[in-house]
Amino acid sequence: MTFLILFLTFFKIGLFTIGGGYSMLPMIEDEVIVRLGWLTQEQLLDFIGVAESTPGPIALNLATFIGSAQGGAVYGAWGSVVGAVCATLGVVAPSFIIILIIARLFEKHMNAPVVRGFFYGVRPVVVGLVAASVVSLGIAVFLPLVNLELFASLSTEGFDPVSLGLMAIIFVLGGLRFGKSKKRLHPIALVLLSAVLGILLFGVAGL
Amino acid sequence: MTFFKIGLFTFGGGLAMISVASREVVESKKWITEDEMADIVVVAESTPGAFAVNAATYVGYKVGGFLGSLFATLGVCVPPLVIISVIFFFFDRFKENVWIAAAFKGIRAAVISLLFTAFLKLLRPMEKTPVTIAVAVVSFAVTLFTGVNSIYLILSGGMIGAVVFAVLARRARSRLAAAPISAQSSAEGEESPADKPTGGETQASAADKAAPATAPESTADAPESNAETPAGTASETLLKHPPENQEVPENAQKPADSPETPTTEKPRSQGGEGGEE
Repeated sequence: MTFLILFLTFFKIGLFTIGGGYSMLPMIEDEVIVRLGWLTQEQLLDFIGVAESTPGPIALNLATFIGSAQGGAVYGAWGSVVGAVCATLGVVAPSFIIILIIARLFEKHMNAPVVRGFFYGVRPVVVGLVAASVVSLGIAVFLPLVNLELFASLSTEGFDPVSLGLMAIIFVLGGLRFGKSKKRLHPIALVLLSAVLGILLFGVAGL
Repeated sequence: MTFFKIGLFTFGGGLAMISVASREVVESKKWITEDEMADIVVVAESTPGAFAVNAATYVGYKVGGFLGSLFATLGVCVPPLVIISVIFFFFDRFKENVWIAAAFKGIRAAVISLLFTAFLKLLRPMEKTPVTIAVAVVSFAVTLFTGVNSIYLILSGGMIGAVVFAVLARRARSRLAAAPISAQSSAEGEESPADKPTGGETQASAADKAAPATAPESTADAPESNAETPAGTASETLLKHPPENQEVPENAQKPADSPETPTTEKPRSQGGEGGEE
């Protein structure tokens, strides 16, 4: 029963939130904390911090975590695995179905003026959205005192020049082209490199 | 599959994924073009559900039909499932581990760089006209300084785009058929300039500069009010009119709240746009 509820709850969350992980948070709170009473506010906040910093989309991380927590609470270790799977499938299923339908329709009506006009207008919106997330994430990381609520877990004081330097290194490396094939470094290599630099700078050197 | 890799190395939400995904799918595998990627980002952002899952499903569909989308979606789901399940069991220790915290702090800084790359990748295939640039600047400012849900921005952007596009197409065709249409649309045409009397005047200058915080608002409005007069097939305009009136005031209020900061941030985004052209 728990598993079915997990699946359906996350199906609902996936179906009714637009714009990805962060816009899901209010609804997850409503459903999981208020309606079902599965987690406390602190547990969720704690985990949002982890969901942000671990690989994978935040929405999926949260679904997996809440599924583990609830399945585990009711059925023990195996329950938490099954719970995680149920919640994840639940949050993914609506996207999957909707995108499949849209993809089919889109391929057919790609050249309809309304569709092309829609994309003509939305593309710049998305460019703006991404630009805004660059800036707000930048503020959160480089100026941790200016606490944007999303990244409240960062707690160094004032300006953080080390992060800025690290970002600059990564950015320059990402822009350079290496070798005869003129290939840029793979983003994944950059992420791994930044993790190593993070350990060296913040962990070993204690900056 | 590829999306397993993408899911594994996506930090900090779906938008950061764009940069990894487009490297894999566009540059390495050459499954789709940069242009198609930009469209997929638009669809993924404006449909329900997690951005990363939407994007994965769509790319999968383009590449390999139903099976492709199934595998892409599973691929993007599995890494979080495994990683989070593991973390779940060691949750308390994980939170306190200094080394992990240090690594993640480094990664967060790098994610900014990845996001910026994603921004450039989306900017490149975008058509650059005064209208699209204005829309980009407005959505940037509104997102940064207000809590407006991005779906409203996307919907208004889509409507602006549809209207502008219709106008462009109509102009390109010819104006021979204008006589009967203008009779129909006169009722519509009178309304909209009345709603936004300043829009038409400021448009020309603001569209070029778009520097002050409030100007982009009027540029975004202006094309609509201009657009409706000539475009005005009665039924279409009627459908589009009410929602726009709801959304635009919402946007218009907010940037006024933060008069100082926009000026510091704007040049940055515009510099990026200028540099790309």
